[in-house]
Amino acid sequence: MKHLGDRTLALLAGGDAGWLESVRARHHVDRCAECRASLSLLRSAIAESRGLAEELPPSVDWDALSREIHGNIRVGLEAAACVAVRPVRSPVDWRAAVSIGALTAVALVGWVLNSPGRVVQPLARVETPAASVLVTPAGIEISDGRQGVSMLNPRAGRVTYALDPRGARAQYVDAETGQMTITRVMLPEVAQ
Amino acid sequence: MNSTRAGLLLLAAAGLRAQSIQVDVPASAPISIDAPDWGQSRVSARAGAVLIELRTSLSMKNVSNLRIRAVTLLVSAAEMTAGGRASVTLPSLDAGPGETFAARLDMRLLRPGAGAGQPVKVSIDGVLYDTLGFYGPDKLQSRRSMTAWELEARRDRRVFREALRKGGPDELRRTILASINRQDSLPRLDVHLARLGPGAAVSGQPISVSGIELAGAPLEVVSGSASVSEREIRLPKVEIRSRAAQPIRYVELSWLARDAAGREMPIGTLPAQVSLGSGASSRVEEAVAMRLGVQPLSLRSYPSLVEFADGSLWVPAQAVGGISPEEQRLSEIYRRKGLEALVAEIGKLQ
Repeated sequence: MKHLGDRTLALLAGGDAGWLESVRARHHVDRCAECRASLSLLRSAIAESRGLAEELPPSVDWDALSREIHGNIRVGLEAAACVAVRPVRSPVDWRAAVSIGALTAVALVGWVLNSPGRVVQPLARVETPAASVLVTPAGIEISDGRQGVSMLNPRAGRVTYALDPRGARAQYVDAETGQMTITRVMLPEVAQ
Repeated sequence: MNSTRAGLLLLAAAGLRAQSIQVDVPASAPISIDAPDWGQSRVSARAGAVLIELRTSLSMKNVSNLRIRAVTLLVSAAEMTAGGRASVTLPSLDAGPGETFAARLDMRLLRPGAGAGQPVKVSIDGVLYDTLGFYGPDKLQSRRSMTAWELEARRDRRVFREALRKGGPDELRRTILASINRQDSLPRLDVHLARLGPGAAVSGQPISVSGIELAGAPLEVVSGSASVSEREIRLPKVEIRSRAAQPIRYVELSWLARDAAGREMPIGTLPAQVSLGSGASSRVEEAVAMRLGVQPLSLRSYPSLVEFADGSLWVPAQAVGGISPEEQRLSEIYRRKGLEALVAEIGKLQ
C-alpha cells in the first residue's frame, strides 16, 4: 500500500487539506494503521504548539485587567491633553507624536489582552463553593478567583486528564526528561 | 504601575531564586534533591496581582539500597486557597542505587498584591520501591495511587511482551498501534463536575447504571441509578457487592457515558471509603452533578481500584476505559523512537 506523503499528512493534521484531498486522505487513513499513527503524532505536535501558546491563566480577573488598561488609557489621554496645550513649535510636534504612539500602543495592548481568543477556556472543571479546579490545554489549576496555582505541562505531547470530586490530574511524557509525569491538584476540603 | 509597586516586583524578581521555592528533604529520605536552577522563572504584573512562573528541573538521586519505581513530590503554596494541594509524580521509574533522575516543575502562581509572598514548599510525599515497599508521610495517599500505577504498568508491559512472544515484532506493532488508535478515538474530556451540598434535590429523569463485568474482580457493581437532565448527571449511586475473601476498605469506581452516536467516554471516577466484608453489599453515592459536552443516554460503572484491609491492591487485568500512564508512556516511546526502542523497554522491566 502506498502511504500518504508528509505534505498531505501535515495538511490533514492541521485541518488545512482541501475537501477532495481530505476525503481521499481520510479514506486511506481509515485503512492504514501506519498513516493513522503518523497523523496522530502530527496532531500531538500541533496540540503541543497550541499548549505553548497559552500564556494567561483562565482565572485572571479580566474585569480588573480591563479597568487597569482603561485607567492607563485615561492617564495617557490626560498626558496628551497636557501636551496639546503647549505652544506648537514645529509643524510636527514630536511630543504629540510620541504621546499618540504611546496611546496607540496602550490601546493595542489592551485590545490584545482583552481579546476573547486569549482567554483559555477550560476543558473540564471541578467546583466547590470555596475553590475550583480547572483543566486547560496548558495544565491544571486550582483557584478561588483571586489567587491560584497552575501545574503546567509545557513540554507535553499528548496529555491525558482525569477528574474526580477531589480534583484533577494530568498525565504526559515530559519531552525534556523523557519521564512519564503525573501532576495533580486537590481541593482543600479533601486534602489531608 | 506606580514606582512602589514596580520596586516590589523587582524585589520579588530578585528574590525569586532564593525564596520562592523551599525544598524540604529529611535526612532519612531515600532520595536527595539538588538545589534547583530557577533560570527560566519570571515575575510579572497582571491587573493588581503578581503572576509568578516557576520553571525548573529537580535533579534527584536514589540514595537507598533499593530500586525506585515511583516518586511523588508534594507541592504546597499559600495560593492554593487554604489547604489545597498539588503534586508531581514520576511513575514507571527504574532508578537503581546511586542513579539520578529528573522531574520538571512548571508552575504558575497568581497572587493578589505585589509582595513576594510565602515560598512554595516542595517535599517528598512518597517513594515506591520495586518491592512495592513504600517510604513517606503519605499525606496525599500517594502509596495507594503509585502502587496502583505500578500494578497497571506491570500488567500493560506483560500484554506487550506477550504480543511479542506470540507473534513477533509484527504482532507487537499491531498491538501498540491498536493502543494508539484507542487513545486517539477517546473523546476529549469535557466534564464540569460540581460537588453538591447535603440534601441536594434529585432533578431530571432517572437513568439506570449498569455494571461492567470484569474477570477476576473482587467487587461487582450490581446496580445503580442517577438522574439525567439533558447533559447533566446528578447524584450517581451504585450498589456494590464484594466477592473477595478479605475485607475491602476503599474502592474507586470509574464511570463511562454513552452518547447518541454510540460513543462511550470516561467521565470520571468516584472514590469511596467502605467497610465491606466477604460477600457483603454496600451503597456508594456521591453528592455531585456532572455536566457533559453531550447528552448521556446510558451509564456504566466498574471498579478500577480496590484496596483491601491489609493495604494490598487490585486493578483490572486489562485496560477498560481510560489510558494508563504506562500504556501512554510506551505509546510515546513507539511514536518517537520506534519499535526497537519499545522492544527494549518492555524487556527491561518486570
